[in-house]
Amino acid sequence: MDWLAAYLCVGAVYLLMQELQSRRSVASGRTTDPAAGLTGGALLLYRLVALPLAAVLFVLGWPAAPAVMLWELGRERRWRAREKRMQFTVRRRDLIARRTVDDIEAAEHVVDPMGAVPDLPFGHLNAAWRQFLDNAPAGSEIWSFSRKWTDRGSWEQRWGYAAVRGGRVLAHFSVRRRGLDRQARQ
Amino acid sequence: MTAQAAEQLRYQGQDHAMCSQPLDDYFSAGGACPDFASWSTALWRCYLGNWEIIDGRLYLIALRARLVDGSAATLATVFPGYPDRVFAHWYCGSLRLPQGRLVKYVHSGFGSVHESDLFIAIERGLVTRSHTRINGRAADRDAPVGYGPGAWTVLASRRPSGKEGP
Repeated sequence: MDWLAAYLCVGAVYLLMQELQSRRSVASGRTTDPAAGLTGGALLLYRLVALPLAAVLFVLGWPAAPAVMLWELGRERRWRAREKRMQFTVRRRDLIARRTVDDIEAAEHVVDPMGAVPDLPFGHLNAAWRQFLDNAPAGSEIWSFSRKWTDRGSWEQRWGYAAVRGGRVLAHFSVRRRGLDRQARQ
Repeated sequence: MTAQAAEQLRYQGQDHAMCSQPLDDYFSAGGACPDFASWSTALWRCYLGNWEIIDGRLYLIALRARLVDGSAATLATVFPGYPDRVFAHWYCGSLRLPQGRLVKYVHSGFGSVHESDLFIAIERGLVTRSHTRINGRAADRDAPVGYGPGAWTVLASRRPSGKEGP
């Protein structure tokens, strides 16, 4: 009997801690109050039936909570790793040739007879190019790159320029991309 | 995912629905993207662009969208100083223009199949070639002609005014 009381006590304390954490989370705006939007009978049902029932179930089966939490943590970690893999990066082997800024800006000058583009390197993308140069770490070299890459199943080719220092690619500026899926190849 | 509303392209004097999104490549290349508000499940990209090919060059000539603050977005919102025409020099790829009757409706993305597709290959905003692919014949002679999503949900309060559609 003592063991059962101790077990239920731990569950009750654990429930209290969870509730306090949940309230702090709602107060800080990180999560939404589960009762938000409920009115009338639904709110009454939530407060008088759902909440007490959930509390009783929690106190009875509290060891499941850390297991679920661990599973959630693992899922989040896997999701973050997957997101990281899906971010486009330029590898050393994607680099083509070292280029000078003058050489690149001359090659990427865009002209339009209807005047529908700024008379600047990279045209409408000039601000992005300037930002890339401004953010390139001091002493880095600029290399052209090309990489075949897939994002959620569809393949594409990307071209652009990368800031490289000490053999490491530190930043990149993607200028063009072309879908390589079956439809685009036809 | 709901079938998506197409962009519009004026090509050789005719208006076509275009199942390609050249403006997305601009944003992907680092072009400034305003905070567009989503206003229809048939328009997850949150904007409708009108395009034109003149003398073998691809231009964006109009944009219809709404920003999260509720104001209307136009071409000048994305390309300040260029309210009427923007040369799409950033775009490399294929433009797909569905033609003829609907052969198979797919309620997802640009998945619907029409009797043929006109493909226009673009290299840095310039047309390099075009060709037509025949997909088959519509079994139903009353099948709708031209591309369009069959159903969508409109978030009415955020919808840009001026035209019907998603």
